Amino acid sequence: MSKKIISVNFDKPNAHRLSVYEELGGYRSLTKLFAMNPADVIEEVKKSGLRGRGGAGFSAGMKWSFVPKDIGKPKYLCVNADEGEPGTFKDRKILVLDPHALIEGIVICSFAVGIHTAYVYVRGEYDTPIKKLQAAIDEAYAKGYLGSNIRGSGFDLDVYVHRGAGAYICGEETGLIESLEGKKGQPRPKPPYPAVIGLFGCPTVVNNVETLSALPFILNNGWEAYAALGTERSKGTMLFSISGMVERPGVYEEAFGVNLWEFIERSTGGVKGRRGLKAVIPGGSSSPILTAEEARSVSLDYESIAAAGSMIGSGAIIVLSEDNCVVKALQVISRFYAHESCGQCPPCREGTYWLTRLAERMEKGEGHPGDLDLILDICPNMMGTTVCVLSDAMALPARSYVQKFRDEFERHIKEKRCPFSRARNNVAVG
Amino acid sequence: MSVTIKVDGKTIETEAGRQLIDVLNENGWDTPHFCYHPGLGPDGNCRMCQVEIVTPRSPMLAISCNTKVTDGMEVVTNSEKVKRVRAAVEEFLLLNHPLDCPICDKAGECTLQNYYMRHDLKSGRQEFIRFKKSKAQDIGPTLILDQERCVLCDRCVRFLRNWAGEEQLYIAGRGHDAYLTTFPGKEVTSPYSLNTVDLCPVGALTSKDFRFSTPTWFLKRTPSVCTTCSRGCSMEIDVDMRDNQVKRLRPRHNPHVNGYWMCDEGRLNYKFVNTDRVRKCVVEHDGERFEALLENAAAELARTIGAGTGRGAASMGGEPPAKPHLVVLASATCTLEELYACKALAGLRPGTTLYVARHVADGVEDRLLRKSDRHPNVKGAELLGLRVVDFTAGPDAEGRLPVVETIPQGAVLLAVGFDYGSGEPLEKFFEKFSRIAIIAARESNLTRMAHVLVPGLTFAEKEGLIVNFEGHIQKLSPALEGLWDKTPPWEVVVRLVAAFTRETAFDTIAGLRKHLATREAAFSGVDLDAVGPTGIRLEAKTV
Repeated sequence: MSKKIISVNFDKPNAHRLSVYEELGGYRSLTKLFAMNPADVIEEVKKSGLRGRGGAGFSAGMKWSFVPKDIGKPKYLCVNADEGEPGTFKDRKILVLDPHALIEGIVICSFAVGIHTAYVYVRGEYDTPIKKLQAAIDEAYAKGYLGSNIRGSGFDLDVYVHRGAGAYICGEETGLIESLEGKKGQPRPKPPYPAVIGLFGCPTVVNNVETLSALPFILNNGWEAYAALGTERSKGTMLFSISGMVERPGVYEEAFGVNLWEFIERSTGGVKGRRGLKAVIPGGSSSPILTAEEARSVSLDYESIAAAGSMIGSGAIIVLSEDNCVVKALQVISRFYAHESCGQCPPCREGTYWLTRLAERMEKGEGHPGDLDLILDICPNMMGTTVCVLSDAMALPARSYVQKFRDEFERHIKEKRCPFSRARNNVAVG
Repeated sequence: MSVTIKVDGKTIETEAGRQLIDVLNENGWDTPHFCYHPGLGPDGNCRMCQVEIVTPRSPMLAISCNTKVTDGMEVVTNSEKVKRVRAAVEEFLLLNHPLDCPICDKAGECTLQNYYMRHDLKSGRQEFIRFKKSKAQDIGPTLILDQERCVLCDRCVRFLRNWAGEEQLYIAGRGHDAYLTTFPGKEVTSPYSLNTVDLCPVGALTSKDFRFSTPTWFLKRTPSVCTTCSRGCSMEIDVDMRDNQVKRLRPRHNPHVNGYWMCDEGRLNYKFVNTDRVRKCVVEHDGERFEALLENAAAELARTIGAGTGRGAASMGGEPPAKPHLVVLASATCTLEELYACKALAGLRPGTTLYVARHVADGVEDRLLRKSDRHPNVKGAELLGLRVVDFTAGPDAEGRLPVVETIPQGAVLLAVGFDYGSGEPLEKFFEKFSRIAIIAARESNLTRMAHVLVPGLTFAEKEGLIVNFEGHIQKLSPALEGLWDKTPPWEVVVRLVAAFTRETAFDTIAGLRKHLATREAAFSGVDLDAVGPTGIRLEAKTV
């Protein structure tokens, strides 16, 4: 039985309505919150071990503590609801089914850091989630959970919803900030970090939707309750978006520390049609691929997945069966990164394009024998050498595909075709 | 506050908070970079300036343009990793760069070429068709854009937006579809647009004026100063060594005057050096104009102003006339040496008045570099205590020209240096004189009025000092020899001076300068022979 913290209200009818949310115990953390010292709230969140759930996995409490205290500038919160990482579809669930949990989390974070203006940057394609979120915000304002003097606490907070315009790179924290400022979503060099110089040049906290939605539980039950779940360095639970060749794709919440494949099988019913497992991508398309053997033996937590050479990322798990083609997968994801690259820096702009061309001709059966070593030589040139990590997000997985499934690539070259192209249930589209 | 850093094992002392790339490049390292420019600041997108910073864990790559030095910082620039990154960035940039070198203006001074030679030198591995974008696109009165060559460094965009204050270029599109362009239906019209050609590290932005003009390796570059307005931007004159013609002007960095830039007007004001020139001495005698040798023209010049040649030699014929009143009119575009020679002449010859004329119409003044006063040396004239007269305004309400009422009957005129425009007020003034002697480099209505005409030298051919509106002395250096005569105007005037004095101090330009510095209070204590590439600011009290 998996522990539900974020998804606890998902199956409660109309939990997105304020009246229902309140009946379910919503917003009661605010009473405790406003009686606390903001610095103590930060401590509480630090001790809970809550890590960013957007992909970077950085300690939320520690990020908040980087914001300078008395700097004379307003501070901002940017809620990252861009949910751009391919394979990720969990934040939309929160926005549609439990938006008040996010709002409650926004109030908690803002109070702790001293923020009075928050922007929720939602990807423009999320039409329904945006409508649901805005409706919830309107309800919250009407009941005094947002606006001036929230519930008589003396604390003011305004929340605005901003629509993105179709760019993955605007999910990168500084790309998001640039976009909010009305400019092209091109990431900024870091340092300085947003906590010091962010939106409009002011200290800014950027947090993922899910991260903030965990805060009410932590406030209500104490940091110990949260830290009691998970492993030593991966505390609490996470929403995992499981897709690919499984019987029941969906969003499943789980505490860290379970066996990866056991969790996938238990939640989704295992590989569709009882076909063989080929590979698992554990953390979104930006994470290196795991072989079936690795997936069966690794524990689902930050350290273990990292030790296996990959990352938890946004918790987007994509399952590949024996009928899927890894070369095709590389072609599909590289086309995504090439399309989404902002174009600022040469390694990313040119590298993603180059890898896409190489993957395309490989999948068509026109790959040259030297292509594999070429790919392996290009990838390190794209890692650690760019403004943001989109370049790494292309190169790290690409390298893992070639390294771990080299035989598949070589078959494409030798047979001058894709050996899997006639297989049933080929997952690739277009 | 001073800090100590270590680079490749070598210790360097510098000030805290400076950008690492500046510290490196000032101390002998040559850190490659595209998007960074000291006049624009860092942008961080080209990734070429990355070096390794030693950390407790392992060396970390960081862009040196956006890394401020801290005490104890340890930097490595010669590791395999750094070499690999530089070659990698170069390769990525060349991936879709068109092989235009044989027809590209930038060849020979191209950053991409230079870095390839220094940091890459590998064969191309790109086998796919390169992107097709717009080429040879007319984007304004001064610029041609080639989108394929652009490396998207954003320098031109930042320059126009942040420094020139007019955002007229931008990078549209995303990823490898990104391209540099103007805004829809608009052009680049900034009066500083041509700085983007200097800034562009490749041949994406080229100057219409210079396009296909000269391969850059044939250009000899000479440091000099712009003479189009009273700002006096430091610049360089680029001369094609094959045909000895000035092909372009470009700004030089001078933190005291113009920073890194100059305006388009000044930059394009060189064509007259190659054309419209006074090529021969001319003497008018009995209504007819004759070509003459310099010695004879000089003798006639001396006779005109009522001086012998100093050695009692015969003039062109007839007896020396009675000494008429002489008006010496020097243009405010003259150098200090030319003005001082005129001052010496006026001081030594009785019955002489000297005016310095402002005659070029006022131009646009802005808050950046351009000054409305289109004379480079008005301040120099003022500091020498000379009377500056304004001819640009034209006759006054009563129809009188400036100072014209002071001209006695039968006065003669010696006009020096009117190369930058004549204009009606000046021509009407000249008409008041019975005999006109002119030393000028450029053909104009005035030179056609001369009874004695001696060719002068343009700014590109002479050595001389000018003082800008802020009292900053800068030096013109000759970029080419005088095309038709090599004698500088100050020397021509000085030969006339010799008729009135035994003073030999003026035999050399150094002698003239020394004479000036010892006798003129404004320049006392200034070594005019030691004016370096960025000039000397005169003390405020004397300005």
